[in-house]
Amino acid sequence: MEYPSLLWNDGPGRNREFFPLGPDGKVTPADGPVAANVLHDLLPEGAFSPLISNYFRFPCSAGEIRARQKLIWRLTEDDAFLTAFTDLGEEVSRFERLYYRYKAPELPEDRRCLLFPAAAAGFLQLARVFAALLPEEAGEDTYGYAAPVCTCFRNLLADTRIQSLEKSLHAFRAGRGEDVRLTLQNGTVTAYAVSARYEDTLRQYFEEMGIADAWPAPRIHRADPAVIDAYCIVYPDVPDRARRMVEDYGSLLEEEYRTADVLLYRQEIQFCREAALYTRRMREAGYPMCLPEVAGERCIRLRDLRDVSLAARELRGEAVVPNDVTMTGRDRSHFFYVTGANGGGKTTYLRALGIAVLFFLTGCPVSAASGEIWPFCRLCTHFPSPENFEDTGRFVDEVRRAEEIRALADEDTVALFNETFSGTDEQKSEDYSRRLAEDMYATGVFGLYVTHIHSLTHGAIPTLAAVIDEEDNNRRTWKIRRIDGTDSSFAGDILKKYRLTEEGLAERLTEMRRKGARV
Amino acid sequence: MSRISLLTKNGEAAPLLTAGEKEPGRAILRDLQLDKTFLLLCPEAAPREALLSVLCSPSVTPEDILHRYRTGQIFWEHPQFLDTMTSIFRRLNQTKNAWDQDRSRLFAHRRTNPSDLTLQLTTGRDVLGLTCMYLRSALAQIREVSLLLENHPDCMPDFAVFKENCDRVWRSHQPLIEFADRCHKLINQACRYDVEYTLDEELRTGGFLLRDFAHIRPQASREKQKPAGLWQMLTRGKGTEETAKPETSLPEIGQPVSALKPETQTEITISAIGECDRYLTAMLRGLLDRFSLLEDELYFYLGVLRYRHALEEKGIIPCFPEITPSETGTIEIENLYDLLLLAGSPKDRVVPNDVHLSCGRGEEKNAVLPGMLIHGENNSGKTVFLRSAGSAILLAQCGLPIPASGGTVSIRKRLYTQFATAEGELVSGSAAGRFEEEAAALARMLDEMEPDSLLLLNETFQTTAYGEGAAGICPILHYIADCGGTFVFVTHLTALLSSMKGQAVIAKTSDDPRTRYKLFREEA
Repeated sequence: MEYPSLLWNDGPGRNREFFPLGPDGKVTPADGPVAANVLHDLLPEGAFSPLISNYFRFPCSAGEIRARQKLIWRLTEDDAFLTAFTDLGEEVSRFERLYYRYKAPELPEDRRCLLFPAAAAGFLQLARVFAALLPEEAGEDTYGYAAPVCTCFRNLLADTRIQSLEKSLHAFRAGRGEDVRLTLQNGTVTAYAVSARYEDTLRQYFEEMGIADAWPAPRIHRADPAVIDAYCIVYPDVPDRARRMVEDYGSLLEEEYRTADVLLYRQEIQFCREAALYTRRMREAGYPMCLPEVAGERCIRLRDLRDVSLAARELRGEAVVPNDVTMTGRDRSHFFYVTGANGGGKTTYLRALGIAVLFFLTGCPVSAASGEIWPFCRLCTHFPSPENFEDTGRFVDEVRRAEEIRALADEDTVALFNETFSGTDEQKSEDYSRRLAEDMYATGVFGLYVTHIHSLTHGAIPTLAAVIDEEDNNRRTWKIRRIDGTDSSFAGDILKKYRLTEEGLAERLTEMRRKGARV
Repeated sequence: MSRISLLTKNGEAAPLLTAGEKEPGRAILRDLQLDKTFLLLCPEAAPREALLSVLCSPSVTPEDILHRYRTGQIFWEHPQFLDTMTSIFRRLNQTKNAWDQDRSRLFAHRRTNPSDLTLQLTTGRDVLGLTCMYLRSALAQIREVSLLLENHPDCMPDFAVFKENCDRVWRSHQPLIEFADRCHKLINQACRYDVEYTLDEELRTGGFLLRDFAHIRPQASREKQKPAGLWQMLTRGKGTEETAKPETSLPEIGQPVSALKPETQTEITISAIGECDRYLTAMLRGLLDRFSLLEDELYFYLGVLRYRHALEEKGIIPCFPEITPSETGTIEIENLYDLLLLAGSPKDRVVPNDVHLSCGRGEEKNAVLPGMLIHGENNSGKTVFLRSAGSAILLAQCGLPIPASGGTVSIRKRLYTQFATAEGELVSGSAAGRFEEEAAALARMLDEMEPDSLLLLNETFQTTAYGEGAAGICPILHYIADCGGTFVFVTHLTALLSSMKGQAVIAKTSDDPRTRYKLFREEA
């Protein structure tokens, strides 16, 4: 039995490939077409849990993007569905716990069978929750790949052998005693079945006294093997019946229905849930979210795009200036220099685009009014590194990382360069930047190259610039527009504000002399 | 879990307030000077503090107020009954303190080495024995209360709910009491332990629980023992064992378990004893908690008795005014004396006044505002009147009689006071001036105000220019009325009196020396 995936169109195989499960049940994510540094550079902090963030390293096909968008959007909009989906995740976790308990190597073989009914019941309960998640008529156009998954579990439950297993479980539970009394005296232990629990008597006392709320919480823990043995002595039929159940249904579940594969749904459910919750949080923070269309040609078009990472600085979406993105392969407007005033919004624009592409390629909503994006296969980023390069030097590291991108990039790649090669002299910076950018442009890579080297902007590669209002003291508008070229970064305004210009420094000196300093 | 109360008709206490939540109530007591008043009328600290604590949260439920009147009256008629009950609940609270101390001492002296199973077993038995001893004691004390109530049948109708709450603790629980008794006296001589556990289908257990045990009886008392049944014969040790009666009359057939090593058996015993102690500890704590408010509540009633005695010594027979729902909107009290003045002076030196307050605005277009403005010469009794009216309403709503000849009090859902503060009494650390402080405090009152609230304002907005103060307070009084509240406002703002003529009831303290301190209503 192959279970369909909630996220991939070819079953759980990709989950196994990208998120392999170890024998202990722990997941070690594989490397993907999107490098780990891209997540570090772009993914808003705290947006997703560390394991789930790894899904962003594996861009999807067009069909997968559409299916995920449907499911995640449904979870975003529908409270009841989100609750049911969350409950489903908890059922998977519960079954996971039972499954690994059943498989635990420290349990003796002759006692392992005792756990089979609980594990089987957990699996069937999970199947029931899956089957009931959606109405029978629900289709992929509304719920993405969740629809075929639910159908799969409905078919499973319709299997007469599974129905027979349910009946056996019911009979097993009905006839299973739970309570054991031991008498311990002078090293001798005698075990008895119990019909009336003393714990129940005590509980009744609490209720009759009017202090039912004071009843202490139970302390549940795994039983010692010797305690399990005592139980089996008192109820010898229980292990026999459990063993028979294993013989009758064990291979049905393990081999035919491959119950272990169901565990892969845990992180798929978690991914969808986290994406929906993140979308809700952004909307509540004033950032409009949308589902860009899958474009039919190589392009990126987004209207009123916002940088959601600004929400982490408690900036509401209404206060953020939106920008548009228009990049097409057809008219050679796929790769741009971005220049302009310091603090004008260049990096914000680059980051907004990067996050939008990253989210789109994994089927997550994007913070824009509308748009369409080609399903690219790769996303690369080149941001200034925060590391201290004592041995190799920062420039060497920049060159190495740029070469890695150059080697992989093609027309199905989006590459974003943020002040690359700024850690060297101006001439070298210009030479290296020109070569890299022109390579990218010639290859057909989509992307942005943020730079302060204004001499680069007068060539074939088009330029976007951060717009300032020169008639209003060079006020930053945070708007990014396509222009012919720029000559200044307007850094002087910022220096003036902090008295770091020539005049400002002169004033500082005068004040210090007035105070008697010897300068 | 709700606590038992003697202050409510249904016998269940209201949720406890934190010190912060009680502070507004305490501020009202200070404004009305009830803290000073009761220091004089009830010098004993415990009943006085209990009384003031109840006064911080007046009741808004007529049934509860009536219940307190009736209970107070029963204790007034049977003071010994009150004393005995107070003594029992004092002992019950002391039981909790003693148990906590003994338990801490036991744990401190017996710091166990986790690997020394013998010492762990001994400590576990000692702890369980201690818990059972105090559980027995608590159950016996609560039983004592039930028997005390049975000995006062004429009080029963008003204490029926309370007695039922006491009875349900100990009646029909004889097996538990016997088990606790045996544990307290004999657990250290246990030679056989009956333990139960549950194994769920995930092979988890909630732990072992001691159900029963057998102990070794000394050799000398063997002659007196009853013939042993099959059970006892099968399990007889060196001495003779005693245990509780078996659950069924047929002997149970058990299976020997050989896989449990001796250390494991001891661990199981220790765990079972510990779990039994955990349940019985929870039971004891639950019981002590459930009855924990009663000592203070009984001190409240003792405080009421002291208060009534003090008034009687002054020649005042206090009355229980008729309590009506807030919708009736009328507060009328005849010949009301000011308590603080009474506490410090002979009765004939205190001038009583009548209180007539119409709460709730009439429906006519030009209906007067609910409440009254009071003015008059300095030292003519205006603030005393305000204080006595506020105190009477507060006391009535807490179930206390008032120093008046009769009256009707329509319940006020909230009570607020604003008495002018002197410099230096303002909020510490605040840079705002007095006027701003007053305005801020008034704003907070208006934020919280509910319909059927009563606001007692003493010279508010006199911390600014008089004209501005009058202009500022006028719309506020209208606002209070529009929100369904009532005000009593002592003021020197003559501009306000002029502008409110015909719109509000205005009263004036007498200028005539023959009727000094008397309040007269002015014609509209």
